[in-house]
Amino acid sequence: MNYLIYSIEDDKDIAHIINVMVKKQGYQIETFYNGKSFFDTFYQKKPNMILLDINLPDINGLEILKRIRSDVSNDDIDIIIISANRLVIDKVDGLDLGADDYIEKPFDILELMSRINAHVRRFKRSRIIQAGNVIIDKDAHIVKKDDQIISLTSKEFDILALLCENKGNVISRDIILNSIWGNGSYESRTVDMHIKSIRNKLNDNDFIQTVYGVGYRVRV
Amino acid sequence: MKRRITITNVLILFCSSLLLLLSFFFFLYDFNLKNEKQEIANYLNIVCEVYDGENNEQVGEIIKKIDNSMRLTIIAKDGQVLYDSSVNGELESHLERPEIVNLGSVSYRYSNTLKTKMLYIAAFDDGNYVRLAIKANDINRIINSMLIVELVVFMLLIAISSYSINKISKKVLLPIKQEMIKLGTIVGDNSDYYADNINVISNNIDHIQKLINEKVESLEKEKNKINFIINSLQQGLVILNEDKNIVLINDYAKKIFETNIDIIGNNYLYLVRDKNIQEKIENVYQNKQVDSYELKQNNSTYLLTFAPLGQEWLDDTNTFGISIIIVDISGIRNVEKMKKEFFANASHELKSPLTTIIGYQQLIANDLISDEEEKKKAINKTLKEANRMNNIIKDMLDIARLEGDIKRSYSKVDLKQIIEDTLDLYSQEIKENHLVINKFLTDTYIIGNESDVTKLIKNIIDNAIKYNKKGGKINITLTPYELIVEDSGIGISENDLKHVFERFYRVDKTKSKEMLGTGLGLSIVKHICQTYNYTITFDSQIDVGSKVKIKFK
Repeated sequence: MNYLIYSIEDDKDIAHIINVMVKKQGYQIETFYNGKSFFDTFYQKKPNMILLDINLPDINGLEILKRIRSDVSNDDIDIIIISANRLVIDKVDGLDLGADDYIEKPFDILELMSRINAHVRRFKRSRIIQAGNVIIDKDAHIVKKDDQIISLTSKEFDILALLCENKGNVISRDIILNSIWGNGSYESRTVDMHIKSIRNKLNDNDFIQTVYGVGYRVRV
Repeated sequence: MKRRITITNVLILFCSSLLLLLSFFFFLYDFNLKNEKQEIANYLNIVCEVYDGENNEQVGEIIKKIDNSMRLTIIAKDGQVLYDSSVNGELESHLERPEIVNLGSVSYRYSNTLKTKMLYIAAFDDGNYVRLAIKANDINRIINSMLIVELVVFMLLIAISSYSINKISKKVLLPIKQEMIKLGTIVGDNSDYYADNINVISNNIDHIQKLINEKVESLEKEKNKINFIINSLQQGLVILNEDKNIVLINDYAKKIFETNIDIIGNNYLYLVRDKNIQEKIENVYQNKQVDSYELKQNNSTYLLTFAPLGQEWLDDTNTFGISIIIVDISGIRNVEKMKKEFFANASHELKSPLTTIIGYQQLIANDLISDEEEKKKAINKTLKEANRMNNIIKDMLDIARLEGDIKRSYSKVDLKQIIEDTLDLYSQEIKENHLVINKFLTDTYIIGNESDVTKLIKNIIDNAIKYNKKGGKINITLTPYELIVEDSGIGISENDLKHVFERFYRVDKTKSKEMLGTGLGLSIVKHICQTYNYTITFDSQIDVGSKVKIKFK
């Protein structure tokens, strides 16, 4: 399983324990003992999840949290706070600042593992998108219709994934353009052409609906 | 006083009457004399008319008929008495007689011959001196008899006037006497005697004035004393009456409510701006029950207690006032805050080892550690952390004990012995780390608490060993009354130096954990020094070592 966890914990024993547990679950884990060493690596390679201790020697864990959450590109990183602070206010602060979960020390390692697994599952669910009889696996980069693999180009894949993720909702051409191609001036007709190609390959003209003057929509 | 009035009156009466009488007598006397003189002069004129120089006896007869007591004397120019109607025989020369010398003027004198006062007058007529003499009126007799009558009348007058004056003055003086008796009572004098002397009134009034002054003075002093006491209180005091007006307020309270003006008599709303406090006051007026409020102001916390005052204090109307007492409880709240912090810190510190213990045990219990070597390590770690927790709890209890006000026993403490014993205790660690101990110990005894001094020394030596380098050295110097422990350890940076005595402060958390450190060692040392008034200095340099100096006196 391709799941990377970063653990930031200055107590070597606790870090070791978490390490052992996580590895046993089959995830990848890297441990950092302070904020600086964490950030040095973080900007090189981003993880799927961060286990964050609040009482670090060089920086307050909540500062790290704030910094990470200030960048929207980190939005799909799950952050679980592991802290000795047990006051409700600390939990509230942590969660309000963008943490996805909060667990107190001393913790039951089985509980910790269950929570981590729960977050992984949710993540996984978001990696597989289903719309009607179409299943898209983002990790495997496969599209299946009625269990038959459909071959799409990279851009086609992305567009289909975007529409299926937001099935039932209209996505405008501009949004599609920006999400898939990013900024820059592109011919808006490009989108139409890609949609046409997708429809062809799926052999289903009704799967993606055209909402005139607005955009495209995958039917529910 | 009444006597004086009476006497004075009588005296005046007497004198004026006397004067009157005397002047009357004098006037009478004078008048009488003048009359007699005139009379005899008149007679002389008549005699001279009748006398022709020779009819002596005839004239004598005539005057005898006029007045029996009249006496005629004819004297010749040479003084020889030619005729005398009263006396026969030879008479001496009368030339020298004043009436002869001063013809025409009446001479009034006592006559030896006739043994009575006589009036004499003479004239020169028809060649001879004609002299008349007549007995003077015995005016004295009249006066004398008059005098007696006067005297009697006078006595009567005096008696009557004395009596009436007495009576009247008594009546007039009675109220005054009563007042004076009253005055006398105030002054403390109860004798009746004083009530008659009017001088005493002014004395008494002076006395009373003095009394009043003294009373006023002592009242002033009392008032000042009470004011001083009230304003010296280290608590605030405000009293409100039934109309919610301020009756009394001391300086402390004025300071708390931040007012300087004279607000006595004004409604409390002039003093109290805080709506919460206003509400409390209104509640007490309503419910007649004690209430309190905590006021946070200027980094301090004050406890305000509101109590209804019984009516006996104010007056006898069926209403009551309120007393507000303000006490500074910042100290208490501070201590509470520190305790809370300590507990929070402590529980925090205990959570880490607990997490480790639970974690490792769970790994083992769930068969998540397969490697035997790893398992052993995990078990050892668990034990170590359990021990560390134990140490932390022990140290925390020490600190709690030091902070508490427990009776401490003092005895003679042998510092040298304690150091030796402590080094024995650590002999294992010293050997393992190949540490060299240099001792320069002189016998030193102090009066102190043996257990706490031992703790102090143990913690210092513990640090010197824990944070030393392998093969390092420790120099221990003991002199009366100073202990110096110097180590060649890893030292502490300047930055960390200021925090070294803080509770649970560790420079290197990992190293401290390894050494089973609690983070409380130096905190305990500091506490002990503070409790027993020892001075402590701590120097350190990174990589060079640390030096701790304790002065026991």
